[in-house]
Amino acid sequence: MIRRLTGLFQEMCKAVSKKVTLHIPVPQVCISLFLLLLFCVALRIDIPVSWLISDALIRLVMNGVLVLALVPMLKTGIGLNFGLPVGILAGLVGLCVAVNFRMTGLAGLFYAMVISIPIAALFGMIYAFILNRVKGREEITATFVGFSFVPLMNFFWAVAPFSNPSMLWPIGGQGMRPAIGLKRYFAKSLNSLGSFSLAGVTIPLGMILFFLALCFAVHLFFKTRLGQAMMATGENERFALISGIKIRNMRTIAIVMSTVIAALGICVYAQSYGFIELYDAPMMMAFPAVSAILVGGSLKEKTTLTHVILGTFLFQTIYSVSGPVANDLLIPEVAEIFRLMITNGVILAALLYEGGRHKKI
Amino acid sequence: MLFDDGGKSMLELAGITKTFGRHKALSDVSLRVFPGEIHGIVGLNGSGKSTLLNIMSGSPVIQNTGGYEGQICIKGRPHRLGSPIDSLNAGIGMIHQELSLMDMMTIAENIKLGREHVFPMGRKLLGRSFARINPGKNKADAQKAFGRIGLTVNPDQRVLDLSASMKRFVEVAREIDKEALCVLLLDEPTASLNHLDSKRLMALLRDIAEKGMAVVFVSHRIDEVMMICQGITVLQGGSVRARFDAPMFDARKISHAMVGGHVIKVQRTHAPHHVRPILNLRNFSATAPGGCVGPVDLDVMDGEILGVTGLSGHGKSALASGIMGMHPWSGTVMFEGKKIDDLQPDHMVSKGLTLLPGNRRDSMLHDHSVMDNIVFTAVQSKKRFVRGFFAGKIGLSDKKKSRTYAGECVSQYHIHCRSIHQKAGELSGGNQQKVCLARALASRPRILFVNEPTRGIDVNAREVILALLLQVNEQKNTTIMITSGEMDELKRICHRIAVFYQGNCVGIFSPETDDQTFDRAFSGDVQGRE
Repeated sequence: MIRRLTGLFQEMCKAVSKKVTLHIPVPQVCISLFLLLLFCVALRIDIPVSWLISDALIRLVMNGVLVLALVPMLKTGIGLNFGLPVGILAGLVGLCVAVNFRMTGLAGLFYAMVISIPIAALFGMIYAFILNRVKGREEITATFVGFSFVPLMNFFWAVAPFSNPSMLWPIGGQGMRPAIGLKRYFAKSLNSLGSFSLAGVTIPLGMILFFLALCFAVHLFFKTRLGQAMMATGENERFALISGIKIRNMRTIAIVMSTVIAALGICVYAQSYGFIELYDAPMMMAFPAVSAILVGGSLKEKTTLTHVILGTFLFQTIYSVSGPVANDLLIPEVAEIFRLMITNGVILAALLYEGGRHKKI
Repeated sequence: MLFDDGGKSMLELAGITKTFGRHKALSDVSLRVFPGEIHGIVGLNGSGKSTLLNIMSGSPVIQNTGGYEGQICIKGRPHRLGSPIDSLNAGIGMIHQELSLMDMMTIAENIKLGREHVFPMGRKLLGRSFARINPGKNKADAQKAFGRIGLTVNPDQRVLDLSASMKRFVEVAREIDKEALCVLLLDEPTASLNHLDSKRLMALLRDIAEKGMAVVFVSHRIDEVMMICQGITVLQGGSVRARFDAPMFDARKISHAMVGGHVIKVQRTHAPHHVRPILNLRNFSATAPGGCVGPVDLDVMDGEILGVTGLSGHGKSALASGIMGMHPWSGTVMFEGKKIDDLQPDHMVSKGLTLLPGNRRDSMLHDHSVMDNIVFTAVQSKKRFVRGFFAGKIGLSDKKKSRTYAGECVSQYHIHCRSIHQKAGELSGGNQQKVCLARALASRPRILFVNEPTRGIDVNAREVILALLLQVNEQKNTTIMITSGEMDELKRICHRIAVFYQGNCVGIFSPETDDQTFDRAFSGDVQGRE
């Protein structure tokens, strides 16, 4: 039955594509339909949809910058940046410095971002040095760079000479706390910038504009001479070589860019979340970002900003909406199991479809 | 049985039609090939030759795009070829233009891949997939297959270490080792071979045909097709334009049928303007994956067209890529009288040396537009077509100038495309090569290294490309070094031709030198200087 329905849906998509000569991304449409179904159910069981939409918009930007950080390395042919924790840790250092000096409001967030950029650039250079030595095996190496960088920084967090008591262990007064509250500093500073309410939906305008501006900057960068050289390196390295492009430099720039954007990403994430999470918290943060960009339909070097925005929206929204719906419909013990089964199942089916379409023999 | 010939034909095609979307790639193509016959199929790029071969070999591309119409009979029995397995079961073998071998495997392993002999006990106990392979039997089979084509090899040798021609013979051996094989399809089998290796391959094909097999031979080299085939079918725009039977072959008539007009062969008329050297190589060596070159002493004159030729694997293609610094090198390189200490591709490109590789996959961005490809190297190396700020480093491309220039190139170089915004990967081989050439020339090089510029492209496009190279040399005084195995072309456009044997330059000859001398030079038998 399901197979027949999927087949029918594919035929419909093909027919529509033929008529309007448009490529309809079937996996993304499938996930969107599932999302629509969840919204309908939420409406039926009186969960406030306006609240769900507000949450979805915030989560889009909160995670979107981290997903955007994957783009430079993907476009340069280095692959998915599983070493995203490297950039995240640089951002965390910037955030901690800002909190240490008791910076508040938007200025505090800005200060944290400015501090984290040079740290991320330095980390990025070291990270690039490693990845340039393992050409062809970047993704698995990056994963372990991320995994090994986190414990290294754990040591730093334990001995870092920060002095703001709200960051330190209350007993002993030394070493950082695993979670630092930002409420008194710059929590929600970007969320509330220019936000307004429309039909019960809170629209974080400033936050969305910040994300779109960052996306536009990345888009514009890839239209420049340097950006084109990086893109050519990703698409056809030998071609780039004979065109006089320094491959190693392009890869280094992409890795540094990716690390810097990840640092900015965690600043946005932390202010929205309201806490700085240290120690092992960044360990697995690359995986939701990677999943989001894949759900968006990214095909390695052919990644576009549409994949970033669409993927983050679908991936994050499906998680945030399915939670309340499942809790309401099922008993709490099985709700989480069913929710994860269905949402991850839909994502997996979408990715399988995408993979199968290209590998069919 | 589709034709009333008493069931004698080995391969019969009737009314083969294939459409890709709205485009009709083949229209009502019929063909008959008898046992022992070598049948040639010729046509321009895009005439439907490859589509026809893809249909016969059961390529998934055909099935995924809606299949084909018409009937195919092998030995009088109709077959529906929906997959490579169907094709294999029907007795059809296919040799593609690009080599399809596993480099790290031995000759025997390549020949028996997927059809290995296994120890019977293991097969009984664990099934065929998990049974231990019987290497002795596989080697014996490989030797037998090579014996059938009159060659002796060590079946334990890795394919990686073989020359291009030998690799081609391994492919032929792999096909004829298949017991049910009765039709052998070859798509441009000689494109990557020089003329001596091509002659060997053609002799081999004749032997195979004499043993009762039907051979379908697709090539752009009309002289080869005429030499080896008993019948020739000319395709034009997806339809059969003409058929010729031996011995009534006439190269002019065949070319006329392919092109729909006469092909005018280009010929160099001018001597070089200057006689001072622009590039001096002293004791120069380079190691590339396809072969090594050197140590060699060579002077390239300013404004000349220098041909570089030799048998495959003898280092001719390593020379240009070595000079460009793409492979490990040693020795002295002097450009315009100045010694270059560090050969790096980016340094060399900025100095005005540009390489056009023989493999078109390496020399273009397939997913980018014709315009993007044409201006790319100029944008990167010469900062042309850039609206610069931050000293041009972060400059945005100047779309207006790029469009104008790309438009001029399209009309000047006769690039057949829907628009300058069409993806370069969608063009035919000849047009892709023109785009590559336009890209290389947009950076206004002082020296242009061109590897196999006419490989796998039709007669019409070939002459356009040769004419372009001549035009650039004569009008812009660009020094050109062409590496090619096509002696006829080198003789027509080069001022001098250097022959390489086992990595060394055995001589530099005038293009007027006779074929016998060149043949001897290819085997290192003659030393010569112009």
